[in-house]
Amino acid sequence: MGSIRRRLIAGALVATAALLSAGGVALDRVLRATLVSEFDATLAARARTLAALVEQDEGLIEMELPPELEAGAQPEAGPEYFELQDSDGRVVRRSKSLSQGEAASPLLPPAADAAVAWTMPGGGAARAAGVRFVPRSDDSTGDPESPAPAAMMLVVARGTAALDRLLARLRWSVVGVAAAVSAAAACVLLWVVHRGLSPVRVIARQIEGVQPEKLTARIDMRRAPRELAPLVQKLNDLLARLESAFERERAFAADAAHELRTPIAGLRASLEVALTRPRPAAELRAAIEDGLQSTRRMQGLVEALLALARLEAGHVSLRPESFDLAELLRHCGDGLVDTARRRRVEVSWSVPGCLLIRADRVRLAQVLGNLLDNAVSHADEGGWVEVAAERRPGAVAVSIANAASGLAAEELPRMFDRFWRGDASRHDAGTHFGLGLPLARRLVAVLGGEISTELTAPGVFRVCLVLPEGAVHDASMR
Amino acid sequence: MRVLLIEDYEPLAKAVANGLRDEGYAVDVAADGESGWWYASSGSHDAVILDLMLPKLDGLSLLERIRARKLNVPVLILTARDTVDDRVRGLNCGADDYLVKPFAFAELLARVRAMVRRKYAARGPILSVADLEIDTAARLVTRAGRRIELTAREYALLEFLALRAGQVVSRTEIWEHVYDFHDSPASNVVDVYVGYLRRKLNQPGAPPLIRTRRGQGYVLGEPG
Repeated sequence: MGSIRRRLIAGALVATAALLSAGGVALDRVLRATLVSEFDATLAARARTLAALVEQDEGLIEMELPPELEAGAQPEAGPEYFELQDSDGRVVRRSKSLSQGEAASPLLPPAADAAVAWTMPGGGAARAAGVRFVPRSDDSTGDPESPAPAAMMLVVARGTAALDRLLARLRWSVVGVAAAVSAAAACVLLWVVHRGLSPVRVIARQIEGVQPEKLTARIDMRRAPRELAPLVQKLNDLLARLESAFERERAFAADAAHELRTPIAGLRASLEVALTRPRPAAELRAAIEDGLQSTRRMQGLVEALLALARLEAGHVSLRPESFDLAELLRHCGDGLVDTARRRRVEVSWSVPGCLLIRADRVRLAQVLGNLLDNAVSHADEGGWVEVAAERRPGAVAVSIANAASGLAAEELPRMFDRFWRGDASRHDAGTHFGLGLPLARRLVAVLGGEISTELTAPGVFRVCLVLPEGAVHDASMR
Repeated sequence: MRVLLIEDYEPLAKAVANGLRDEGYAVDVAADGESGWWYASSGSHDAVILDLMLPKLDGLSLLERIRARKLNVPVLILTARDTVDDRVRGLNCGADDYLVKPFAFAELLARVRAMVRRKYAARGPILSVADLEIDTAARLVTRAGRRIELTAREYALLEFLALRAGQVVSRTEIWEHVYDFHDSPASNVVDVYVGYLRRKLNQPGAPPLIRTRRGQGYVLGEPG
C-alpha cells in the first residue's frame, strides 16, 4: 500500500497527460483538415481563374497563360503547376517544367473530383486540384456547324512546403502546451494533495500526543474531514477501550498495593510494639506468631496475584490426563470438613460414583477447591451447601449452591472483579483476598469450560461449572 | 484514657491494642462496624481509632453515625486508602486525624495523645497541678523535682485526674475512662488504685494532692 499522495498524483498526472494527448491529437487533426481544405479551395479558385483563360476557337483550344506560369513559376507560396486535360483525360497542355508527351501521367486522374496529394517533379510534397469547365467559345456567330465545346478540366498543383511547415509548427506548439500544462498540473496537484492531506497530518500529530499516562485524550472529530470521520471515530473507540483497560489495570495495581498495606501495617505494628520494652519470651513469641500470620497473608496475596497475572498473560501450560472428577470433588471437599464443622454448615453431595473426564487435574483441583472453599466459608453460618455433578452430552457439569441470605442480585456481576469481597468474607481476612473467583474463571476459560453464577432463589447462591469431557474414551477407558 | 480500636485485621488490631495498653491506655477492640458502633455508643472513650474497610458497617458510615449521635469523641482514621480524596472525605465526615497504613506505631501513639489532649483542652504535653508535673509524652511524673515511678494503670489514673484537675471526678467516670471491657468490674478497684496513687504521690510535710469528696468522687489539686 504505497503512499496515497504518490498514487493520487501519479493517477491524476496520467489522466491529465492522456486527456491532453487526446485533445492535442484531435486539435492537430482538425487544424490539418481545415488548413488542407482551405489550401485545396485556394487551388480550386486558382484553377477557375486559369480556366477562364481557356478559349475554344473553331475547335482549337487556346490558352493565354501568364508567362511565369507557363514556365512553371515559383511564387512565394511555393512552386505552382497547371495542366489542362480534355474530356478524355488526355493532357492537352501543362507547365513546361512538367514532363511532356504521351508518357506523362496526368496530375489528377480524370475521375477525381477532389484534391489529391502529389509529388512534384523535383521531389517535395504538393497538392493538386482541378475544375471542370466548358471552354469559352469565340464563335459568336453561333455557327451551327462548329461542334459544341467539350468539357475540359484544369488542374492546378502547388507545393505544400509552407503548409507543412505551418502544420509542423502547430503540432509542436500543441505538444509544448500539453507538456507545460502537464508540468503545471503536477505542481498544482502536489500542492492540492499536500493541502488535502493536511487533516491526516493534524490527526497524526494528535495521535502522537496520546501518552499511555494520559489516555483520556481523544482525537478532535471537528477537525477531521467527513471522509476520515469513521477512522477517527474508530480510533477514539480504541482509545476509550485502551483507557478503560488501563484504568482497570491501574485500579488493580492500586487495589493490590492497598491489600498489601494492611498486612504490612500488621507486621510492622507487631514488631514495633514487641520492641518497645523488654518482654518475656511468651509475649515475644506471640508477637512473632502474629508477624508470621501477616507474612503468610502477604505471601498468599502475592502468589494469588502472580497466578492471576500469569493466567492473564496467557503463560499457562496444561497437562491433560484422564481421571475421575467425582473422586476429585470428594477429595477437595475433605479439606473443608473442619471449616464446615466450625461454621456449622451442612454439606450435601449428589455426585455419581464415577465421572471420567480428561483435563488438567491440578488446575481443575484448584478451581474446585476454590469454589467449594468459597461456598463453605461464605454460606450462612449454620446453613447448607449442596454439591452436585452430572454428565451431559460431551460435557460434565458441576454445581455448587449455598445459603447466602445476605447476597443481593446486583452483587453477582461484580463477583468476578478482582478484590471484590462479599461483606462477610472479611471476617476470614486470613485466607480470602477477593481473587479466588477471578482466578477460577480464568482457569476454567483456559480449561475450555464455562463458569456462571446465579441466585436460584432469594438467598440461594449457585455457581455452575461446565467442562468439556475431553477425549476420555482413550487408553484410560480400555 | 480509654481508646476504642475498630480494625478487622486481627494481627494489626492485636499489636496496636497491646502497644496502647503498654502505654497505659484502656483499649476496647472491635472487629467489625456493628460491634464498633455498639462500643462507641457507650460514649465513654477518649479516642477512636477507625479502619475504613470494615465488615457489616463500613468505617465512614460508622463515623457518620457517631457524629449524628453528637458523640464528640476524637476519631483517627487508620486506613490503607491514601489518596487526597480519601483523606478529604474522611476528615469531612467528622474525623479528627488520618493515618495511612503502614504506619510507625510511635506516630500513632503521638497522634492519639494529641487528640486526647485537645479533647480535654490541654495545650501542651506537660500537665501541672501545684508542684506536680506530668509529661504526657514521656510519661514522666515528678513532684517538687523528685521523680515518681508509677505503673501503667496508676499513670493512666493520674493523667485522667490531672486532665480534669480541680474538678470532681466520679468513680464511674474513672471506671469508664481508665478501664476497658477486659477488666473485671470489681466494686472497689478504683478506690484501691486511688489509694496506691496517693501513697506514691504523698510527700512528708506537703499537703495531699488527691482529696476524696464523700459520695461524689475525687479531686486532684485545689477545687476550682
